Amino acid sequence: MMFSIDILLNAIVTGILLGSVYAALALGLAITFGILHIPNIAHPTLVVAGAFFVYTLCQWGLDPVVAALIGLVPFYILGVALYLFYSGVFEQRGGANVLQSLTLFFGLSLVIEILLSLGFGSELKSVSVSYIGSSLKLGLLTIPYRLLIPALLGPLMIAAVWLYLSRTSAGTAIRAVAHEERALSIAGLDPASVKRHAFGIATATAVVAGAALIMVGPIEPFAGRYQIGRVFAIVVLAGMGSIPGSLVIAITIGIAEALVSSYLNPSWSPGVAFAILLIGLAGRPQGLFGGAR
Amino acid sequence: MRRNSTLFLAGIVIVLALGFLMPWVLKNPFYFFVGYIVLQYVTVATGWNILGGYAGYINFGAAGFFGAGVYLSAFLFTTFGLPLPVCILAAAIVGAILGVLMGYLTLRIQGIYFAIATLGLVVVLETLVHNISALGGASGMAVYGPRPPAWSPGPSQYNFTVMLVIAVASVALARFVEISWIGRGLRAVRASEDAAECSGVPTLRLKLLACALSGAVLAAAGAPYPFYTSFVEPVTAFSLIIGLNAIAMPLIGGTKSWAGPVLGALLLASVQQIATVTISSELNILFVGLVLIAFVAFAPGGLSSLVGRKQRRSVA
Amino acid sequence: MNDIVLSLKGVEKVFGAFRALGPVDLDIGAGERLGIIGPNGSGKTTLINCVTGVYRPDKGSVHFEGQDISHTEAHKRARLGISRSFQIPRPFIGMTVLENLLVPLDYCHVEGSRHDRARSVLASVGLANRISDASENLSQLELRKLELARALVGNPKVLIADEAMAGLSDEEIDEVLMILFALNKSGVAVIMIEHIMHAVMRFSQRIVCFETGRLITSGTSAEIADNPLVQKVYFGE
Repeated sequence: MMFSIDILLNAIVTGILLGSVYAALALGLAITFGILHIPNIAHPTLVVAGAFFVYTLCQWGLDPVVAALIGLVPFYILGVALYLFYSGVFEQRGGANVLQSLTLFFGLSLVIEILLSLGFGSELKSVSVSYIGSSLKLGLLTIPYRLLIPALLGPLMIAAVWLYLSRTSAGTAIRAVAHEERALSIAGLDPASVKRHAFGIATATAVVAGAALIMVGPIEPFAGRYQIGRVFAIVVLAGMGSIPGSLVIAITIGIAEALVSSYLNPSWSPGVAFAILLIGLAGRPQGLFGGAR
Repeated sequence: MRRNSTLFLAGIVIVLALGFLMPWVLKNPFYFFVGYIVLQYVTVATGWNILGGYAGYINFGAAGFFGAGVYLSAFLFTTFGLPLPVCILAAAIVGAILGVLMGYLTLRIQGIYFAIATLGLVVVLETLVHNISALGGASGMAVYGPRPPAWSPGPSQYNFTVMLVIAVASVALARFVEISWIGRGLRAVRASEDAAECSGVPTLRLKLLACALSGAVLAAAGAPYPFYTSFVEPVTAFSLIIGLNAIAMPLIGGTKSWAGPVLGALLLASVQQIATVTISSELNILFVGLVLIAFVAFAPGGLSSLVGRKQRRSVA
Repeated sequence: MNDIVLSLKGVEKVFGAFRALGPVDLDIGAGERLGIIGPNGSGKTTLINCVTGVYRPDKGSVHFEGQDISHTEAHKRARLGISRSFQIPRPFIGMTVLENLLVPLDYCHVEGSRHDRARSVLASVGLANRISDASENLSQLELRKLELARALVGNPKVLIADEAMAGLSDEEIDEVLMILFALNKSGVAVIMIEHIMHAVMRFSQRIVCFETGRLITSGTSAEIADNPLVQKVYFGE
């Protein structure tokens, strides 16, 4: 294997860009699982559903980014509806059993995948936009636009959400609701509506992440399962609830995958994130950035 | 308890006798094709429940263990010509090791990480198989099964009988775990891990034991599969529907006892066999997914809680 | 009180920036009745958790019958003979009262049948009529009795009763005290952590008082009752 600096550089840059796309994917989960402690494993599937939404609108000539922005409201509403179903089911039982909620979301994700499969068929679908297909050349680096644009979407969205969560009072309420429900009620806020709002935001991020995903490459209805390992690795290793941390971890995973892809074999890359997760869990269970549970 | 054990043993003997005799009575091999799948799911559901029902740790990646069993068995048979019982045993051992590995890495933290890790396991194992050409990669591997011995009239009957023995052994194992100190310890850990630990229960060791037994049974369920289909490929070995059924069947039949997964498997597998013949396999998955959601949402105790009049409170 | 059955030497436990315990030096004699008092948050429960193995001490060591058990796992310490009851009872829900006791018995040496041992212990605490009942259906007093029964079924050498009488009426407190006195008579050291002063005073041969993680004073019931330090800790200046 020849060691050449441009392969290495390109792999690293690709990794950084891919990583920021992964971070966009993980954002919704960082909110629902990391902050609200609701294990929404259907999130990657919701991202795929978002990608199909963007695909459909693109068939009518819209730009994927515009399609994503249009999707924000419907997906927010979808998120609220999901939360209402989830809390309705478990509230009547006096609190959620974590493993039962996992199972609920697992079933949900499968139902969504099958519906997508029945609706769109199981072949790969992609979007064609004018800027996708060409690359930016910077010296030794060749950066494809299909990676660059989505990779910009990711951090933008993350920054926006992070600012919202840390600077606004609604955002602070969201961050507090997982452990301070009583304090919130005393302050006059309804914890259920805070969680509902958070879930809506998390699901809205799914459509943007979906747009990013389908710009990077073609997708099929069951693509979510390949993302689950990555997405959870990111949220867990970052330490639950640390959104800036999740960006760092996501980029690290992206670089690791790109290096494995370039120097070993591309088909090993789905396992990289999982391997990193297991190693990380074995070494430092509470994550690298977040507070100890 | 001893009288129940005698009854159970008698039941096993009757079931096995019927299983060995039926191939000579029923001439149509189709029954044994379908029966194989039903028995396979009885095994899968039973194996899953040892960890999921008794200990409370949900495995979303039963397909991973199953597929590992499929591939190991196929590999050992085609490469080394090892006899079928050895292949099955080897698959069970590998399943146990996988289970302990997953458990050791994740159970010390929290149960939810175990569940998540099992989700990723299926993808990882499928990726592994794709990349190993000795296992046929994505295009799969053909398996020319062993010749059925004299006491069996044909290959599909033989596979059925083999699967029956595995299923019976698995159910017997599950029952043993349930009524022994293992089951008692697991129930205590499930109720209150701290109190169990302070009462002398080796909580981590018990959980790992449950992981090992569960993994072994799940892998054993997959071991005869290459001979049933004569062809293995990643998509079917690690199929979605296996992992889904592994959870749905015990949930529907009841997770507290060995009889629940058996009941759920008999019911759901039979319905699905009818459905796959009449409708598509995708709609089948949709159906099971919806059933799963319905049960988790409205009847987490399974059918037995629906039938019983008392509302059983679910405990975390 | 010649042999020391349990000994803490310089034990400290810190959570981040918060020093929950220590350093603490404490010896408990075989068959002693020790009372531990102190306001909430003074480190009493952290102390028990270090003794039973739920926590490992950051500094110092815990010794049981001369052996250093600082790094021994909690379930092994239970089998050695250290048992405890929890402040808020934690019955094994989903199991009957009898089964609750069979769990620790699976890990102990017992002369004769385990079922018989469980039954006799349940009878001695007054739960004989509830043997086959689901543990989630017990009253507050019955839950506390079950908690104690489960802790003493394995013939421990030390029993730590963590606020075993909280929320009980005076008669119920007397019932629990009788169980603990009877247990102590058979040679078991009993460490009672309690806020109910009259109970601790009646029960203990020696009382130690904790405040902000340190052992500030010790003495007999009479000495503690008059001790100005203790009064300050509970009532302020």
